[in-house]
Amino acid sequence: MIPIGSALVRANDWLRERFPIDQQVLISMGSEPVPGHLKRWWWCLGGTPAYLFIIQAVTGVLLTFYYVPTPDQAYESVAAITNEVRFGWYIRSLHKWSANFMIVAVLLHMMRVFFTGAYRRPREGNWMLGVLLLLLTLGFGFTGYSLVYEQLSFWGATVAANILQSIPFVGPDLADFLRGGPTVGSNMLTRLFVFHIGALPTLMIVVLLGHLLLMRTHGVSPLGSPSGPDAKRFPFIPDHLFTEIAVALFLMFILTFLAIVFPAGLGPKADPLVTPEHIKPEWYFFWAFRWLKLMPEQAAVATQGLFIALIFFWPLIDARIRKRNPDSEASIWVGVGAVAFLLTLTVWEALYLLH
Amino acid sequence: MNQKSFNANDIVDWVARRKFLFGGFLASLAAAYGVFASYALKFVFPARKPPRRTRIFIGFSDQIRPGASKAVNLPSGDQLLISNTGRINPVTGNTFVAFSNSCPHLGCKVHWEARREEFLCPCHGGVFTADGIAVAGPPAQSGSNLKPYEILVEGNSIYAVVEEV
Amino acid sequence: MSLDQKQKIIIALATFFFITLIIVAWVEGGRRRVVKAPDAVVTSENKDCVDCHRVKSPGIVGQWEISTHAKSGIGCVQCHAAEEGDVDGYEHEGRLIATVVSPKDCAQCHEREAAEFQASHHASAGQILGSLDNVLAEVVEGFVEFDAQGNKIKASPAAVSGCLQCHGAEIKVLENGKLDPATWPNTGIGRLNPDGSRGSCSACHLRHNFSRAQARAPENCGRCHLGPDHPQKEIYEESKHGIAFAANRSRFEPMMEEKEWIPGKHFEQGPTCSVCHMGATKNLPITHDVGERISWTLRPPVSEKIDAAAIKAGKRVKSWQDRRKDMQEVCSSCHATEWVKNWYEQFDAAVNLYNEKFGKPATELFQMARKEGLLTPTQFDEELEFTYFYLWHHEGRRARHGAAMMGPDYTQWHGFYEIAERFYMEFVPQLREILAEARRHGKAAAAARIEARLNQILASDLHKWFLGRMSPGELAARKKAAEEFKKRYAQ
Repeated sequence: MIPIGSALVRANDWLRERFPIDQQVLISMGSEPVPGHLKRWWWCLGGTPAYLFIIQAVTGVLLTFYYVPTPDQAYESVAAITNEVRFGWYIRSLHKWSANFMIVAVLLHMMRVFFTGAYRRPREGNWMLGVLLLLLTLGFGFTGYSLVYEQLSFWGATVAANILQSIPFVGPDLADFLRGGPTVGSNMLTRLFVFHIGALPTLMIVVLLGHLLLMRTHGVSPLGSPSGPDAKRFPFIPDHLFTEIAVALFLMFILTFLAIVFPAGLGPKADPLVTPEHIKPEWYFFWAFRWLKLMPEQAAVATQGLFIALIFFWPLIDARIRKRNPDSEASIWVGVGAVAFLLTLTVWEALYLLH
Repeated sequence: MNQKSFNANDIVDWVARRKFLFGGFLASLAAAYGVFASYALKFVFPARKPPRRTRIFIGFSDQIRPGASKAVNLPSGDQLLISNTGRINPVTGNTFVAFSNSCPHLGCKVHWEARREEFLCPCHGGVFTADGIAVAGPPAQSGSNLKPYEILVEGNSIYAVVEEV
Repeated sequence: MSLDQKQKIIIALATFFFITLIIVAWVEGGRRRVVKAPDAVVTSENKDCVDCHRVKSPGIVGQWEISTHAKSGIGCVQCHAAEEGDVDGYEHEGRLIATVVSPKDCAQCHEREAAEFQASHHASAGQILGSLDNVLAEVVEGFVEFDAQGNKIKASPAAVSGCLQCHGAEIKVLENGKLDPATWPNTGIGRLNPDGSRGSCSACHLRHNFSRAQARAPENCGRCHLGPDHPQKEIYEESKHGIAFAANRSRFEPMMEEKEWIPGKHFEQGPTCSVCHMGATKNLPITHDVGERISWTLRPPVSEKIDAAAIKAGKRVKSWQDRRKDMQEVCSSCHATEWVKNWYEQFDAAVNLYNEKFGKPATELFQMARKEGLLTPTQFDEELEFTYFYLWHHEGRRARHGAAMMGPDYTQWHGFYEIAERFYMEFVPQLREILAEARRHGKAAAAARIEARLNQILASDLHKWFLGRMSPGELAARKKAAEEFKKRYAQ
């Protein structure tokens, strides 16, 4: 029989002596009782993208051991990872599926926060940090996909640079910044690589820490009446922790399953001289792609910018609305409308491409 | 367990009471993540399987006279120096010797001195016999010899046995 | 949900995760077992060639990449490098190279094969300038120009695109170092190369992948060994050998690329041309001298044993008996001794029949006509010349080849039947006409001499049926057999 109990106590004493952090503060910070409503799994959607980010970081670092960010070796190095390196296909497929799941999880979490009004005073700042995290996640998706240097990667990046170009005033400079020059070439690949493994992760961690810090200092926003589920609280450790562990394991299981059944493949290598018949971005940009086809480029870019600004500043707008009409349910309708709108555009583009 | 907060002792108590289940919990987590970690390690540690050997055409034997040598770039990136010693080696049956011309000391290129029948490294005076053994200079001090390549002669063709890249 | 329940859920999920990881390991193991085929090795001296030509002429690079040469790093420079003083060498992207790769170049590694090939009849295929075929191509069909010194300055396209593509042109290097378009491109098997060597290995071993399977395929030899004057390919396809190969080809093909392709060991039926005429058997080594196992020469108007010419010239060569023994050694891979022995008797009998009944008589009469001056000195300006040519050069050969390679239809209907018709219905009447013509122009004595000989020939046993002089016994037997035969049909 392993005396786990006394072993833990002795380990605890050993650590305390060497790392004289006031454990009580830590424990009280970490063990703040969790409102009862978080016993529902719909509320664990914040931890999900965070855990997926960790998976991305781990698998991403592993992939960086073999990936070569130059135009004549990028594709081949990805092929080598997929076909030759031991478990390369698995790590890469995990990375790909986890990316897709992370975006979905972020969006679901965002919807949960939106529809439960958890962004309202005093948590407006945290909402904005969250929107930043969403944009960073999409940025990860875009840059990561471009690194594979397939035809769609290359031409997708080209299209993105062209879209940036058409933003009023700052467009050309932004496009030059993305490309590392006036044309799409090896400079761009290097930049995308730096974004993907350096700049974006750093920003992500900083903003994420801010997001978590704000969340912890504000506390979980209360839900419903005091006599509802939140009448009872439950300890973070071990209860909520175990919930999070269960979610983590479930994710590992699903991702591994998907990696086995739908492993990441490789399309044709990027050819700067040949434009493929159908350029398409990844699914999470379908809505933007479709929107761009409905109106002149500048108008589309301008409206998309407005849309993102709307989302970013929504807590303030919502506050204004509710000032006028305290019982207004406008936010719900706006939310439903936005989701429906985006879904429609996405499905429309998807169906068009399937055709 | 509905408590507002708890301390380390509570954890210990609880663990002690649920030893078996907790043990299973830890074990299953360790097993699953442990296997995953092993895959990640296998991923970064390149496979140690012995590389396949193949033969690469080096030149024609009638084009390397006794006493002459020729440098050949191998696909692996190494450069091979093949020399015709003029004497038939009883073991290999041909008159050729071939070594990587990278000096084991600091990597300078060695060359074959036909008159003295030895390899000379110009950087720090490393000297190697016709068998690639270091006999003078820094390589001799550290006992590091030239890396040899096996040579096959078929008819007029010379091949070097190399590892597949 | 209690902690205990959560822990149980976690244990369950961890187990599922673990199971999927086991599957991952299984998938990984399955992939490891796939052995990658060795790739083409591009050494540093060939890298520039390959990089540029991969874009400019991707077919050439693609062919080379799948070759055995490429696996050992043998590439462009090894074969195309030229030396100072080479008449066809030129500078290309900083290197001295030659376009033409001759047997001498191949001999750098393939010494034995090149030597055997140089000694063979294939290598001398280009030396046909004095042949009748050449007269046809250059004079009758085409037109050539000579300069004052007697050098050919304009070739006959019939020869350039026709005869010489199989037989091999004499490659000329022009003043400016370029190759004369009338002589290059050419991969005729008897090509005369600028470096003095004879022949072209790529006539059979198509560059740049030099595949063994391709060289062993019957279509390979069939590029030249086909057609009305030597239909070896068609005869082979008619023969049981060819049928057996066709039926089993898809099973054989993956193995035919291997170094050894020995009858009885690697395959049990359906030999191709190279198997019998060149290939290794369990006792014989491979040879690139295709004449090593041939006993008759079936080419000339009258067939003789293959060593007859050499003996006449006082040279010592492998006797026809030894060659036949070697060929019989090949046959015995699949056939019993009596089978082989009896077959050779059939073969010899057919050749002798052609010689005795048609070859010798027609040749003798034709040469008499020529010697006696009854024909103009110009070749092929009279009908009898074509008739005689057809007789020995076309159907005469067809009959002999058909017998040699077990193609009964070619022996009979494309062969002896047509020989007979040609002889009796064309040669004899045309000769008689010439004799009549000769008598009208004061050459009666010569005509009489030739007519006497003609009548002598026709009166012989072989031909006397033509004069209605079949023996009564034979006539009766024939009549009886014919009546029996008619009873099979209602007519």
